[in-house]
Formats: sequence, C-alpha cells, structure tokens
Amino acid sequence: MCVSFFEITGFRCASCLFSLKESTPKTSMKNWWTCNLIVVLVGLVGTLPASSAKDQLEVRSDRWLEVRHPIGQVLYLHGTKSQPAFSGMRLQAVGDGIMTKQGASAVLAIDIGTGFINISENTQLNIQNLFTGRHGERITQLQVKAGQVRLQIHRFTNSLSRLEIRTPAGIAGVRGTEFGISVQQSGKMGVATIKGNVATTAQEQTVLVSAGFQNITIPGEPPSAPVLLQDDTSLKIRELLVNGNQVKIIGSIDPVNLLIISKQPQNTDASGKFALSVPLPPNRKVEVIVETPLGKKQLYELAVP
Amino acid sequence: MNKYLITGIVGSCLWVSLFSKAQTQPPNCTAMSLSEVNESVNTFQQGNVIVIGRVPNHRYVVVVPGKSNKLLNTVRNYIANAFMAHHRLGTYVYAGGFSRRQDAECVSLFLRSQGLDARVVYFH
Repeated sequence: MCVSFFEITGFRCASCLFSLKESTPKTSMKNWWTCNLIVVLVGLVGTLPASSAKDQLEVRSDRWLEVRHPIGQVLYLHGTKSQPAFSGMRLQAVGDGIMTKQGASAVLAIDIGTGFINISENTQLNIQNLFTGRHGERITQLQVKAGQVRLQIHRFTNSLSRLEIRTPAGIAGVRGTEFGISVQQSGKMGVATIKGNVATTAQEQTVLVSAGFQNITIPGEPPSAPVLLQDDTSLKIRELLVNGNQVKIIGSIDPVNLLIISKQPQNTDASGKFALSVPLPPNRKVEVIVETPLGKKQLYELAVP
Repeated sequence: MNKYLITGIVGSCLWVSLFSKAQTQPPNCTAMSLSEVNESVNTFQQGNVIVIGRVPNHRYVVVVPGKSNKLLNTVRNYIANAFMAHHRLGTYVYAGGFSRRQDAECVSLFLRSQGLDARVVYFH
C-alpha cells in the first residue's frame, strides 16, 4: 500500500518494501511518512553539493570593492537597507552599492591591485557581478544609473578578465585603462578616455573610445563616433528669461558633461543643449555646476538681470 | 566776391561730408575694445566661481530690443556672451554691462553701425 515518489519514478523505497511484510494499518502509515521523509532528505542532500560546486566555480568571496576616503554623505547600500559608509567597508555581494549625495565623494578600491573608482557627487553604483572565473579571470560588472565615476584600472594579467560599467544607455568595457563616465538622469552616458581603450556598446554596436577621445551613448541609440577629448567645463547661456518667480534658462555645454542647476541634476540633448525653468532665488543668482566625465568641475553663478 | 562764395560752398560741403562721416563711422574706441569686450563682458571670475549675466557695478548696459534668435545670433557675432533677457517693457538682448558710460556708448555705437538698434540703459 506504500506509494512513494521513488515508486513513481521507477525506484522502490527500502522502507516501503519492509512495510509490506508488516501489514497492520498503523505501522503502514508510519512507514509511509518515514519513506517520504527519507525521499525529501535525500533529494535535499543531493542538491547541496551541486550548488556549492557552482559557487566555487564562478563566485568567490575574495573579490570586493573597498570604500576609501568617503567625504560628505556617502551611503552603503545592501539590499533594501542603507547606512553611512566608512573607510574600509567592503562591498562584496551582488546588489551591494554605494550612493553619494550632493557635495559628497568616495573612492572604491577594486580588490588587490585591480584599480580604483573615484565616485563623484549624486552618483549611485551597484555590483552586478563580481567573481573569479574557473580560469582565474576576474569579472567585474558594475552598474551606474546616474552620476559620474572615474576609473584607473591596471592592465589585466589574465586575458579573460574584464571590467564593465553598465548604464541605462549601454556598456563601457575596459581592459587596463584610465577613463571617466558620466551618466545623466535620462541615462545618457558620456565616456572620456585618458589611457588605453574603452569599448562602448549599445544596440549591438560597439565603438572603441581610444586615449584622447570621448563619445556619448543615448538610450535606444548606438554609441556616437568618438571625438577629441575636451574635458571642457564651459557653459554657454543664450537666454535668462524671468517669468514671475521662475527663470527660464537656455544654454549648452559639452554633451558628455553633467549639468546641475540649483542642486538638481539636469539633462541635456545629444548636442549638449538644455532649456528649463527653475525658481528664481530672491538674490536672482542661480547656481550651476558643470562636470566632465573625468571629474573636472566648474561652478557658475547666473546673475539674472 | 566769387572767391569768398566758392570758399564758402566748398567749406560747407566739406563740413557736411566730414560731419556725416563721423556720424556713420564706428567710433575709434571699438577697434581697441571689442576684443576685450568679447572676453570680459557678462562674465567674470569671483574666486573659483564664474559669474555669468549681470555683473555687479556694471550698471550701464547695452541692450538691443527684440526677441528673435536671428537678432541674438547677430549680436553674438560681435559679443559672444550676449544673451536674451526679459524686462516688463519687453524682451531684449543683453549685449553687455559696463561700469563707465562711455564704454557702453562705444559698444552701442559700434552695434548701431552694424545696423542693430542698440542703446544704453542704466540699471539700478
């Protein structure tokens, strides 16, 4: 009377065979439960070695991003929780991240000797993948949703190693270089390379940004052709029109740069133009910050007539 | 008699022609000051901050009434930092602010010589 999962799949449980010899209903029920318990336990034990073996192959706990020199309000993100970050704190798990608020900055060291990531203000960075592969290659995939980061990455000794920065617009992949990335709220990504090469990929197209060049990638479009590196923080204003207690500002910056007006990150179009209205402060002075992908900043004050 | 008449006519003709030439020619100051104007007007460094717009104590402002992009682009051909602004009397191009009236008049005259309706106003 004993029917177990093993019987269904063509095997026969020893406890069930035993139970057939003793035919009282009470002992039969007891054996039925014992049989099923064994089946479940065997199944669980069988899955354990498989998952741990997979972990050993792809994910090792010897990879980390270590927080260094946090300045201002820097938050460590773990799951849905956040706490103030301090020097020496390590990000290791997928999803772990760091967030900088207005005026804050931090440096992340990528385990031992891989390189550094300088994180500017108003930036969020999360780990998407951080593991050592079966051939010793180090795979580092980080996500930057908005803000600006600058990376100094040493040349990888393992040819299979790779480091990728993923943004809403595309992916910037590197193998030993120094470069910077800016990501606007719209997802537009600006890449500027100082040393080595950065491969920007989006819409199944890859554009190489070599040393001394920069490009942009707009969500939904392939990366733009690289142009000479500018690292130029200039701001051109065309209109400062007061309308009630608002001021309409029209101007332009280098399209790879970030624009912050009245402490709020703003978007620019493919040519760096912007048109927006902000509240007019009582002193009629509007604060503007322009930041390049390499982290160079210039503070402006728009004195509205 | 004829000698005096001829001298008078020639003299008056020369006077009129020279005077009218002085009125239509750009003032002498423009050649010297425009390059300087282009770089410094409407922008100045205050510590590590670059201020764009109305410069303090530069109350003599050269304005060109109008609100078209074409007008703004024309003014920006001569003064790169010119921008559009608004007053209760209407929209205008803020060509540049100066601490001395004569500098403002100089730029205004130059812009007028280029066919623009420039004028100097005093901002309180």
